[in-house]
Amino acid sequence: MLKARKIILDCDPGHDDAIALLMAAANPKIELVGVTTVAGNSTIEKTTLNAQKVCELAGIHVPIAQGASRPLVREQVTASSIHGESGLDGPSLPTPTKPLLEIDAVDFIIQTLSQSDEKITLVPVGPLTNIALAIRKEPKILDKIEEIVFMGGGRFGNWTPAAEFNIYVDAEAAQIVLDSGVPITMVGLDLTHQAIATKAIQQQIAQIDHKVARFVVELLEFFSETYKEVFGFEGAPIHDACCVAYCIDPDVFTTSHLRVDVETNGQFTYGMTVIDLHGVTKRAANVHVAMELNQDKFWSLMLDTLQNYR
Amino acid sequence: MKPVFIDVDTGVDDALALLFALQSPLLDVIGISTVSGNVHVDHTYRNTLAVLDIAQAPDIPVARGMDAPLIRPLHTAAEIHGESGFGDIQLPEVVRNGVEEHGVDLMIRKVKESPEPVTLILLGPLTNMAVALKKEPSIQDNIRELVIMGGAGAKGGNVTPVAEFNIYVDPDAAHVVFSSGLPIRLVTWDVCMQAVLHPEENMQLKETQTPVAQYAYRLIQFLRDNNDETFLCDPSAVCAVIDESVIQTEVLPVEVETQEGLTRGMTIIDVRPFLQVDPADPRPKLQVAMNIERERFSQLFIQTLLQQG
Repeated sequence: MLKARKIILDCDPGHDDAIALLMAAANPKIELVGVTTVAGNSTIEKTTLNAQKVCELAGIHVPIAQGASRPLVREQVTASSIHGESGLDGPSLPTPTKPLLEIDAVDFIIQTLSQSDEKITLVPVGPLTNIALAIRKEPKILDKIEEIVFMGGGRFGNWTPAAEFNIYVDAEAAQIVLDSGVPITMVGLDLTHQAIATKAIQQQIAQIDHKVARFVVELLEFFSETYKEVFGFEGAPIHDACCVAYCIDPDVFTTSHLRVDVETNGQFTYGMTVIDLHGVTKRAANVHVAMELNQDKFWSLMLDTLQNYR
Repeated sequence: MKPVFIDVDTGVDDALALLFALQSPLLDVIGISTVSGNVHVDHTYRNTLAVLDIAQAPDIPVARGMDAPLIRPLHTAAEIHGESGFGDIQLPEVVRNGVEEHGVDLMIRKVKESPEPVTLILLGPLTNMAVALKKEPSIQDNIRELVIMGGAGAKGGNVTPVAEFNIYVDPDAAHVVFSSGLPIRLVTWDVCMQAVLHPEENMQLKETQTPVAQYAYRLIQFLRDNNDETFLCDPSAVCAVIDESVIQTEVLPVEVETQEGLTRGMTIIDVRPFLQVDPADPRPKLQVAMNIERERFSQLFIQTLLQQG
């Protein structure tokens, strides 16, 4: 068997972040080196606490480091309409017993990468603030990045008509990441809106007899409610889990190698990922853009991974 | 017959759109204004007169309009259309004369004089229309609707990854026109990419010995892509007026990005699934074309061009 892929999950839990975290910690094809948090779905205090609580509940023992409390340039925006006041409303969660790391997320990323003999994959599923800061603070880490697999962007938006939430929150950080020159896979709304946790999927998860599976069901119940209320969706897309699924099995979706840049100026388009589908810019491709999800692979991979908690 | 006024930046596909409109027994073309876009207005004006000669069109007034966008320098597509706008296709010497009146004034006058409300078919950058609306706002009272070839949705643009040429060239004019409150149907680049003519369909034109069919055949040959298919962009907008039912639309909020960034000239069409079109939402609501029934379109186009004048 191949060696497990080392990843750092950078997240802002967040319902779909929590599922991504649970998947990353329980699949043998992944070695979760650490979890870093960022302000996004809610404030940094809340996303950090939520990450700790999820790890506590599921018995995940990995270092957790708190990251940036606000975007590089703009004012902070949060998504309480989707994730609730706590950032992870719905399920009841235990109080964390393990402390955070003393160093912050940016330094944790830099140290971990610098000290590692192998390359490590970064999986940011929130705004890209921490990753941009780490790249800028210590550019040498670029040589140690296997790949950046991020959730964000798309050909259409959710937070605004043109922009997806994570990129909208910190478009400047996103552009820094896209310009980094390392291999990048972008998991945008085009892909994640194919990963809808329908009632049928929720029932399959509910059949797993374990508290983690029950927790996932509770997450999905709450998330589906707000997604229906706010976005008119039947069943919630579990965006962030798609990135982790790709790290487990790159065949879980197809990609196209394209030029992608971020609009940081627009009046109506701030935070949009401008994807050059037809090559009109004649600029070199910099991103592998996720295109089509293999439904069978994705859901069985997710269910199998959750089974590992039994 | 429906009174229509056409604004063009002729251009090969504008020429096909003009032939389509002039040949249609359902449309009464009451005037044509020309604008800088594909190429400079000096060329689009001349080209338009030549197309009318070819069509042996009756004496329809044609006027030279705005030679540059409202605010920005002109950006043409001469690299695609050639300096003259017609690539290597020779147009005959122009016989007829245009009118001395400015294109914007012709548009205003023709709309005001019409006994019934006028449909405007806008096939280039929206500069003339924007200036007309600002110069004489009362024309709004006698406009039935604007049918615009412009903008792009999720399938992407043709001049940048997200912007379509006509809107990119003069986004400020597009903003003025979109916010006018007039009923607007927007035939986007996405839909144009469905409006394809197959080579065997074009053969019907080749085999017909009328000047219109012969010219249309050559223009279509000029536009064909590597697969021998031809996308008929501007003619789709004319089709939307001749037979509305061929193009399905949805009412959606649309804004134009006017900032000079990566997304200049993008039409931001809000297709988010949760969106209820809220009457309090201040954004312009346009009828955005979502789909064109290709076969009905190509049939209508070919049959109309085959008609004897």
